[in-house]
Amino acid sequence: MLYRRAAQVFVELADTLVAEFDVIDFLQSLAERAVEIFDVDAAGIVLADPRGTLTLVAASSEEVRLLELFQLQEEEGACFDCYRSGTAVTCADLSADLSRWPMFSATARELGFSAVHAFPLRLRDQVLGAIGLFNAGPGGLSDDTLTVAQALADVATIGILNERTLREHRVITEQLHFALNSRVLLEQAKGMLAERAQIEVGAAFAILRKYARDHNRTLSSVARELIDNRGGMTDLIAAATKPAD
Amino acid sequence: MEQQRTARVWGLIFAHARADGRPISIDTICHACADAFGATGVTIALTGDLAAYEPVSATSPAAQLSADLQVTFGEGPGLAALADRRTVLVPDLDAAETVTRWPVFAPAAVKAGIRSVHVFPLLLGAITIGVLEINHATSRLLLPDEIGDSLIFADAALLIQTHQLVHLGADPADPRLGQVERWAEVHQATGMVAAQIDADLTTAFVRLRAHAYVSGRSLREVAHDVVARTLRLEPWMDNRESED
Repeated sequence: MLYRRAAQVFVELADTLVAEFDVIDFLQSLAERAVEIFDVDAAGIVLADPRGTLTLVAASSEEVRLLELFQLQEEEGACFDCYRSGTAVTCADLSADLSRWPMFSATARELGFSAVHAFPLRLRDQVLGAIGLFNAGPGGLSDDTLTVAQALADVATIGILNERTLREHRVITEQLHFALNSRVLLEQAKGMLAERAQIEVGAAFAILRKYARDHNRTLSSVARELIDNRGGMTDLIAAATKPAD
Repeated sequence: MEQQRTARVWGLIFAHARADGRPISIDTICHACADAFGATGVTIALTGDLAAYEPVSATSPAAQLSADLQVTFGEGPGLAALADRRTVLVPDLDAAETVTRWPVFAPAAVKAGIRSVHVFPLLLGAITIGVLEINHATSRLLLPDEIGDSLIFADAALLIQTHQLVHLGADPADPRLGQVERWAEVHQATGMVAAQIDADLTTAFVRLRAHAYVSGRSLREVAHDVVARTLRLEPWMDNRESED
């Protein structure tokens, strides 16, 4: 069952590698799909910037506290350890060893998570970042799950590096920088939409995403147009202002 | 690990500023960058209201010429990086593919003694305020580590140009220094402020930072208040900001 779900998702993700490619869209889909495949409660992807600090680029939910939990891992936590060591890090029960990551564990438990697992985004001997999986209930992962999770992390690596590398002289550092900057642009667009439509910033992401989907566009291109066209995109603003059904 | 990278690059910039006995400027960053890479020349060109590509600092006649060629002919790696808002790495200006891409600029730059160019946009999300161009007389591709450093030099130029007030007495290892903010709230607040004051993102970012500086608070704290809607910035002309 796990393999069938995973295979299906891999095929879908491979499809997105060919068309108009948007690295943020891709990583976002990957984080959302990770939740389904592994039956976990949350997933997120962090990348190392040129300074080596980890920054969140995609998460299965835009819940503000969850984003903070990932950001917290620039200093400690499963993703941080995974990035540093380049190997999978799993913790089946956060309450069993509170001294391992005091700050991270406390925040994770406040959010209702008991178990966390992280897998490295790795290219040969370089680690680009990590994918983190969170579960409400305690428990480890099966060997099958470990294998598939690492495969998913490898797919994320390919997505980040693949983009346009054939056309231009690209190096990994630059590719990472580009992916991280795309996320910054998305945050700026979320803020702009939130203010124009007078909604919460946390709600803005889902609206941008839905709009991109409905119009068959990439998330980044919608974000970009919203920012560049300050008085425009009135249909997007109207959709955001409309109360949810 | 690589946390030291920012401190190291800022350390080089500080050393230059101290030697010059002047505050850190775009010139300081160009010279520090040229020294760090043993470059033939380093240029920073900014996008302005009048010109999309306006060279404001060059460390050598060759670097100045390379920038002028791009202004004159309307083509070249700096302009390409601005258009794509992305790094452009040209290990060999004399390579056939490069000459095809920039038929006028490439041969002229080679003639001026430049063989490779690495261009890094001054970039923060949708904010693009210019480019940092590193020229070498030989054909080469910067090493991954050097590219990491270059990105920090570009960040430094962006921060200086958006009026980061850096005191020479500051510690280059201070984590608040030279950090192009990674916290999502800062970028969200920038977008919100842009809508509040009906300005572009660059202006909004400058306003946000100015507010933080004047109120003696961190950028992150101010951004948090904007996102929580306890702070709004008002359109220009009126410097008073309402807080409740």
